[in-house]
Amino acid sequence: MRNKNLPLTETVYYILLVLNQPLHGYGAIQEIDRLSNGDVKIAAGTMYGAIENLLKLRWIKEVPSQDKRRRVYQITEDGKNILELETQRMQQLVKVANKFGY
Amino acid sequence: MMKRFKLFLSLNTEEKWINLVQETGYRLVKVNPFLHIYTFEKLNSKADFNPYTRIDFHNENMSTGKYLDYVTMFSDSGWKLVYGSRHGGAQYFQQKDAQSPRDIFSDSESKNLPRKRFTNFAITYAILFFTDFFVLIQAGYFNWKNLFDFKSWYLTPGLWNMQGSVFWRAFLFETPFALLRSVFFLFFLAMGIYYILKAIVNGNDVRDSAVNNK
Repeated sequence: MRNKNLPLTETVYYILLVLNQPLHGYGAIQEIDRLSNGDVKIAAGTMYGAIENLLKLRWIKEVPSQDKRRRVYQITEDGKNILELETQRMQQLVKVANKFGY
Repeated sequence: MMKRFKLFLSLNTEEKWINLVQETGYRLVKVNPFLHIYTFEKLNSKADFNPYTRIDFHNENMSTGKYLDYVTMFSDSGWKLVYGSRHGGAQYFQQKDAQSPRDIFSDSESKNLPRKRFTNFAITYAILFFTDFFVLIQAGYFNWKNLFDFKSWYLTPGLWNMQGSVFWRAFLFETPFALLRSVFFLFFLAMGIYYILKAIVNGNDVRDSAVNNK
């Protein structure tokens, strides 16, 4: 049976991806903007809420930060597993679409 | 400087009003959430940047470190905190310049979260005030007939026949209880109604936006 947390939103998928390296919230916003060629611009309030939620799910964790004013986060093993599952789900979806000539 | 007193039943109407005032050439510079007074400053010239102000809402305490991180992330993203407290309540953020994004939320689901928290907060306070109200009624401390009869608020036998310091001592001793039976009774009722209206109006905003997104 499929994991009940799937599918992920585009925002959550990108956040988990970029947190393969330790980043603070605004760092993640900038990295996602860059990787998506400016298509995905996550606003501050949305990022804050997403981080809170991902911490609760234990898909990301806080790691020590040099800068007292900015907390730094990184993906956990649980987060990597969910990212793997979601990537497989999307690959399957693309495979089906290909069969239809898309 | 321009000061305005205003009460709002929902975060949406509050945010809209602030931005309407700002559009006429002002910038929100201070909010007093206890007295509901909003202070605006006139922009110097027509060319001055005319900012948007957006409201986030928390119903839980944040640690000092967490709140600093929260405010810093908004600041990094182009939003200056006009008023807010780590102990919760509305957090007012204003665009720093024309490069700032137009909103502090980039999808409707996350924009709805503070509105849901606001509804829950209003329900909690409505229950609190109505509980106080009904406790006072149940305890038999209040009677509508006596509302405007000042002397009837005091229950000490023979109080109004006492003299001098004996009278004042008894009078002052009972005053807090007398107020509790009369003024506070109405205050609790009014606050209960105010918060239940907030819960309903703000709750409707949340529901409407959920319908619009379907």
